[in-house]
Amino acid sequence: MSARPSKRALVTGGAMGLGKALSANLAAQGWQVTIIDRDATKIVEKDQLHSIKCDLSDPVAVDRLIEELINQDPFDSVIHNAAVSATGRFETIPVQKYHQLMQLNVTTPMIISSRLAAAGRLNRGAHLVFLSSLSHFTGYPGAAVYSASKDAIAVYAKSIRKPFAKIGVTVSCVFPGPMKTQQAERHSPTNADAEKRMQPETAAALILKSVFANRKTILPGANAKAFAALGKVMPIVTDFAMRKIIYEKLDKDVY
Amino acid sequence: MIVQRPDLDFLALDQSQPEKITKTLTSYLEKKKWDQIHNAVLNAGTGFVGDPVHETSDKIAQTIAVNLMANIELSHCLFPYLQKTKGKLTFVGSTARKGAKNFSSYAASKAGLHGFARALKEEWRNKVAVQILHPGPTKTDMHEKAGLKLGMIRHLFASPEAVAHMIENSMGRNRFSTKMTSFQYWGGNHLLGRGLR
Repeated sequence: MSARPSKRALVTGGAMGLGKALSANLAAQGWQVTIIDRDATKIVEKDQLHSIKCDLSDPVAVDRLIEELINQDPFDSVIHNAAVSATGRFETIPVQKYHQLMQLNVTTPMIISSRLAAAGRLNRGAHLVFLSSLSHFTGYPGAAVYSASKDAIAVYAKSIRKPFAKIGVTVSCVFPGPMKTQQAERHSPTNADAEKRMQPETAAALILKSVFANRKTILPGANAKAFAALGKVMPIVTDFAMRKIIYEKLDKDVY
Repeated sequence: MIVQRPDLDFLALDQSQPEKITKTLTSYLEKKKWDQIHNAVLNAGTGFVGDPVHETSDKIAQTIAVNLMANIELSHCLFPYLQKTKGKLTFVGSTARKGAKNFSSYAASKAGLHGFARALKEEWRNKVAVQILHPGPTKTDMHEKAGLKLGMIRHLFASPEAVAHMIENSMGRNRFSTKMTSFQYWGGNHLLGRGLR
């Protein structure tokens, strides 16, 4: 791996789950990691882990954050990991929650990326990483707006790949399947089997290995690769399966 | 710009402020005493062309608000009206939904709209039919507004009337997603009123 001690990474949503695992992995490799999270109190600051408290679903707070980041040294890696979901019947979830979701999952990572790039705060050779979801390869009834947000960010990553390559930045997009995290637990149907889900630490190691190998599309694990292939070949089957396995078993709205 | 006809009503609404739309729309429907709707077409969209490295925060936020959030908000508001008739909700996407390097946030918003429609189609099965139509480049002033100088190539684009015709044709069909490119237009699909693939 090409990591050197002086490199700087920015990880959003790094207090828990996959973001925490990605930050810990980078720090263990000698990176200086800045974590952005609204729950910054949960982050144990160490020599290589620094935190900034910010609610990334608040456009005003994001604007202030970007000003702060622009005044710092440039980054060698930016990982847009922070995201929320909203599961249940589309029409019964308050629409205000969808505004927050879209701001956090789509608008904020797009704005942070372009502002940092325009201000020259991404070093040549830097990696810009977006976290989409395996749902990009299928329909996701029961999380309509979440799946919209993950499709949007995946296509944004694909669209900016060439323009960002001109400034020496490699863009990757990750499509992880369900993981053993508190967030996945909260949004799954009751009695769903959590044992088959991937540990965030395992996913983080696979993701970072692919990022530093300059992979554009990252599907961590064999299950994710198989599901994505199935979704491409048989979209009607996966849509039907998602409706049966997830939507019809959702017994509550979670947002 | 707008043709005045007694059977057409116009509401001036700004989709960049999605929260305000539903309020105005709901009070309009109450005034008209409409408690059900058979067809709704969500067509409004915006876009900016340029290097994504220099795309401003305002342009990104506006594109996502108009093309994606406003349609989510309107779908939420229209559901009870459409459910009563087992009606149809039609979104107008774009062939750019697969990715476009100088139209990045626009492409992202249309990809999001497709994913949203795909999920909704399953959620609302047997309640409301959902479809999304993806026109290719159309001879409107959108490209110029977006900052793109097209030159002669513009003449190859389908006219708005032809695209409207293709949309109308597709609305009568049960296909979930339909692509409408200039090739199909020039192939005579809209003239023949034939099924569009």
